[in-house]
Amino acid sequence: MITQTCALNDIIVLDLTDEKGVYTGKLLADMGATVIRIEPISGNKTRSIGPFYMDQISQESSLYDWYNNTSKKSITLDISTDRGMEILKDLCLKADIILESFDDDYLRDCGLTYEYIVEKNSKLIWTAITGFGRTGPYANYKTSDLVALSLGGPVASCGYDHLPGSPPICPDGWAGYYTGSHYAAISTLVALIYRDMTNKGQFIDVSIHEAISSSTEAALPMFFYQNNVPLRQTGRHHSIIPTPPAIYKCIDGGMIHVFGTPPQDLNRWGKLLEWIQETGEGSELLQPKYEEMVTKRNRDSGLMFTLFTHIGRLINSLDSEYVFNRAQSIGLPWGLVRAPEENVLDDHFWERGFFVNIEHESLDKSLFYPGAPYVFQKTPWRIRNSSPYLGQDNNEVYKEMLNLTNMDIELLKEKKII
Amino acid sequence: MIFNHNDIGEPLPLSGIRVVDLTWIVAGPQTTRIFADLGAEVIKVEYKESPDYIRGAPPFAENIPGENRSGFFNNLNRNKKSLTLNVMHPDGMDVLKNLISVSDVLIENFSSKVLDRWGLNYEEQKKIKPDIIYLSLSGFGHSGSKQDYTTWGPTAQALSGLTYMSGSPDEFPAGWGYSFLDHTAGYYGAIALLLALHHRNNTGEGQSIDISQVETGMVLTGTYLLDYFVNGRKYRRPGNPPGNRARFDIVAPHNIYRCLGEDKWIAIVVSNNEEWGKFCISLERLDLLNNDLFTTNELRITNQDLLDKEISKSLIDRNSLELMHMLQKEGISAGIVQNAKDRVTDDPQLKSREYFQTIEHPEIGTYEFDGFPAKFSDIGYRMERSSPILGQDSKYVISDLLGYPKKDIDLMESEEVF
Repeated sequence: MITQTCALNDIIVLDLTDEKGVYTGKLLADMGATVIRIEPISGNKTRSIGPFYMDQISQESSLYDWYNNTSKKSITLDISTDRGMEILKDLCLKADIILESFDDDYLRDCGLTYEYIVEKNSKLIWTAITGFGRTGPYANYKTSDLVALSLGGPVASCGYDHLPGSPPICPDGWAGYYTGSHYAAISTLVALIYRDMTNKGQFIDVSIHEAISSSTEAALPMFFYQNNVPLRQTGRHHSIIPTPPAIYKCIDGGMIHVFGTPPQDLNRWGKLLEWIQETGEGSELLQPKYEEMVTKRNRDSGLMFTLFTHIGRLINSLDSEYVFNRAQSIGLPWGLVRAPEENVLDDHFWERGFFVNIEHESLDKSLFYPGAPYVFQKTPWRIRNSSPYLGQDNNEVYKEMLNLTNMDIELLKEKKII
Repeated sequence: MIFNHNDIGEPLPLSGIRVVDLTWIVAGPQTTRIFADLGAEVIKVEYKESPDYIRGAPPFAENIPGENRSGFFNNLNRNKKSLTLNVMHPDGMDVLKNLISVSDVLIENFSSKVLDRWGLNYEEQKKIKPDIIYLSLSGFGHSGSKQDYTTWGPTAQALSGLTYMSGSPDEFPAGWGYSFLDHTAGYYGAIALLLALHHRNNTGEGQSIDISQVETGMVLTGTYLLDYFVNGRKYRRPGNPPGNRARFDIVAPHNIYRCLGEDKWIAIVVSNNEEWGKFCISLERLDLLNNDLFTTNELRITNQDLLDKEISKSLIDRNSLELMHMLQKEGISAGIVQNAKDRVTDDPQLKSREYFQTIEHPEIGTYEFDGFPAKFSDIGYRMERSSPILGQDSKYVISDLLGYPKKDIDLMESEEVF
């Protein structure tokens, strides 16, 4: 029975987020929650973000929108009108979670406050996802993925030490907004667990700036403990002291990222040395001082650079797939530097069922999607439907949740409220 | 249900949840840090002979290495308890099994076969605690032909596509300057456990969850994977990655510009003509506003090289922070590139939200910590206890929690079981 195989089968979510939080609702929807996007009549602006299906720009063909809205429903509602706001309030009485990412005062100005909600539906969890949080001097500052990743710390750690004077680099791919959405999902689910026990809802103020600031590994500790700020380095960890390059080109043009090297035990160290020596080089690595890199965790810069010079030459002379598989076979956690689409060619992910085939009824065909970030034994992740057309679920949602009649719905459409 | 409270009296939402934490390095400890902050009792199990690798990772307090002196470790493992255990000794395994019998969650991030070797796979765990929730976080997951391959954050980033997606166009990958994906995999771990707890609250059922770190990176490339599947467009193509410019060139200016001072930069996104007007006026560059080459977004994109050059001229002698405030007051998304020092000492937003807090550590003293990136109306998180001294809570677990008699404990102590 389907109802027992969804972790969030019992949960109704109203999703009013834009690109800052749109992924949060996908995380809940793909785990079984009924997530209803509430869009302005002109459509959520996520619908205008490219790339587009067959490069045909339209509200219904944004691949960004498709990816981030799987398993959701869509209704239209103009919440800036009095009647529209009334309807939103009625929906809030029937919902478990509301997700929104409006600027600070927008919903209040439209007439919806958490105080009102607590009185009418004290079980509701309201998650607000904003650039900087709802309080503080930056509360009304405007964010963007580029600005969020710059202020939050990642950008300062990414760039090129081999190109002096070059700017720091912001990684592509909406990583800032995704990190905000990860914390929004965690916070919302934590509030849900609390509600399971107490029947009480919650208002949650998620700051994307803080979410990103919490995701910069040792950068903060380096400052807290040693007053140090690490320098960015090409394709590898930021560091106080320069470290050897970590990414090496192979003979076929592929690249290998070397990490976890030297390994932590003599067994793997021996296998790495054997491999290097197959090229007829690297006899100097047999000196005891190199072994101390393993046994005493000695990270002397000179020794590291010499070791990596040998590793680099080894990799330069070989085919990338071979290097990847051989390194892994001797326990070295090296990886290929792949473009996203190159994982489609790796059988491993198909064997795990990572790529899933999703039907697009309107196109009369099914398309492959990237799939589950986690494999659950009893409540599997599942895309239940492709992202909804603008307002496609108006009839169903307004009838089932609010008992509106066909005539009510027609009237609302005429008045441009839905 | 009785909740524990933090020092300002807010209930901790995960009170009463006990986690057997077999994780180490960063990804797993990130998951359990969230659980510990929110009130779960996280019991970190380590082997004395080879404790968590991060205990040996810099930065160290006062630059003196020691297993209880790593600031990186302290940051990741606050609010947790430490049990040392030799699970290769039958009594050690007995303690671990008894601990599982009184716990809700077991989490590990070993490579995929370790728990099988210990005779403690999910089927065995279930015999000890029928509703246990078991989460495994590994490089490639527990199925598929590469299940024995291992990753660290940087190599998982390389494999998933994230490294390739960071860089200037047609330049070597800049990648990520730290293990971003260790945080991200940790966030998916937390989301998964919370989903499983909600399912258990509803049904009484536990379950197992299998997370592949590489796949947690691949889901962040979803839009680009979809672009490949439906349009056949590869991310690996001339002009990619976009550097700091807008992906798909949808808006300009969109870049990071040098400002006055050493390594000072500002990120700016001007999204429309109205903002463009305000931007030019703020910078007193009416010549740009009146220049026919820049009058529409399309033209600004077409003439982006010249545009960025002109903007750079106006910013190079300016204070980046003042510039950010000036542009934000005009409603333009602008943010300085902040390193860790900037975030800790100069960020009024983080300060006003009391994001940084201190905890005293019994051996190294009082240090700062980054907080939880969301604020809740009715619940809270704690900053109660620093990371545990290795083995600090062994006796609490074995004696108080599990009720072993003193003579058994003495015997175990003499045989170095803990």
